[in-house]
Amino acid sequence: MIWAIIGLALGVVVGYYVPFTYPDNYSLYVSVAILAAMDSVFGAIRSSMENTYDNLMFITGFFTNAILAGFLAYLGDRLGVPLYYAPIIVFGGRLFQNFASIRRLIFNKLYSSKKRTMTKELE
Amino acid sequence: MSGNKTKINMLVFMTFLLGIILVLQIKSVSSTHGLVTLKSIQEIEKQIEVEKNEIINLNNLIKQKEDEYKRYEDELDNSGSIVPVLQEQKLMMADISGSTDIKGRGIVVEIRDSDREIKDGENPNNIIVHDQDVLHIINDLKLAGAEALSVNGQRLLFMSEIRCSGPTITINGKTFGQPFVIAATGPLDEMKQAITAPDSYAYLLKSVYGIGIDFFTEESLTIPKYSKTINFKYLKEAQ
Repeated sequence: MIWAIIGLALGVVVGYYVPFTYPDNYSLYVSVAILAAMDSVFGAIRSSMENTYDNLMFITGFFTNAILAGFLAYLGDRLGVPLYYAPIIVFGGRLFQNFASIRRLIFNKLYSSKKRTMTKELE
Repeated sequence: MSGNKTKINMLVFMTFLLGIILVLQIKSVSSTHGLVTLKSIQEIEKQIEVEKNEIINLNNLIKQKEDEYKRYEDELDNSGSIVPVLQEQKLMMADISGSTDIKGRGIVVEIRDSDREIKDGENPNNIIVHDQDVLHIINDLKLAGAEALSVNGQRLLFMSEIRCSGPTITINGKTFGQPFVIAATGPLDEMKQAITAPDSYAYLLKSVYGIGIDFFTEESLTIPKYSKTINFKYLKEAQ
């Protein structure tokens, strides 16, 4: 969790100084891709807390999800159908699910450690 | 546990990428504020131009003032007083205010009534020189950059009148008949053009009404000083 925040902060700083912007037309695709990438990161945090983390799964998920989401938004634009709703709903919903799981895991950890100390004191 | 370490590395790297994309997106979206019309671009360009000119003018002013200050200081260092500089400035003010004779490159324009015969039923006013004509030509000369002006030896200052008095005109309270001789110092080419350009008033007078307009340039033209004394009765500096 902390590592994720550190990485994010580093990225923000580097991104701020990179002298590169892209045309407004692509902002929709990139925003959907960002959503997918965020979902992947949250998923990775959750799975690492559940001890089911798989490196390959994370990396491939990060990139393919982002690319697919961006591509879908692009395709939607070409076809005249707002296909970008699909990534927004799927990844947005999963983002909240992952976040809820992370919360639950953190609270479980806190409670279990509290219980342990309480039982220790009782003993 | 090497797996744990690569896990952390990977997570940091991926979130790093995410951060970069995130900020790029924010920058790209916020750098464009919707549609920009050609008109607004032109207006902004104009504004920039005006501001740039303003900056140049202010810088020039700063430089001018610094030079002035330096002159005072130099004079103070050299001779211990700034009186010579002030005297020099006083002379310059005298030149500007018309209380000294001016000598310099200039143009002399002579305006006389037309020699041609009046056509049947034509208004005789068409062939004589009026105060308006003189005024208009003087204005054209001023526009061309004339710095000191005189008409028939009368220095033109800010309150010099050019008034119609029958077939004559009155300048600085003195009345003159034609021809009227305008002398002006300033940029020769521009002043010449102000008299000869096909769009100019002098050209119109000459070609349409046949008024006699002659001019010649002179390397050292003397423009006399203002002959009367100036007494201000109502002039007061604003508080």
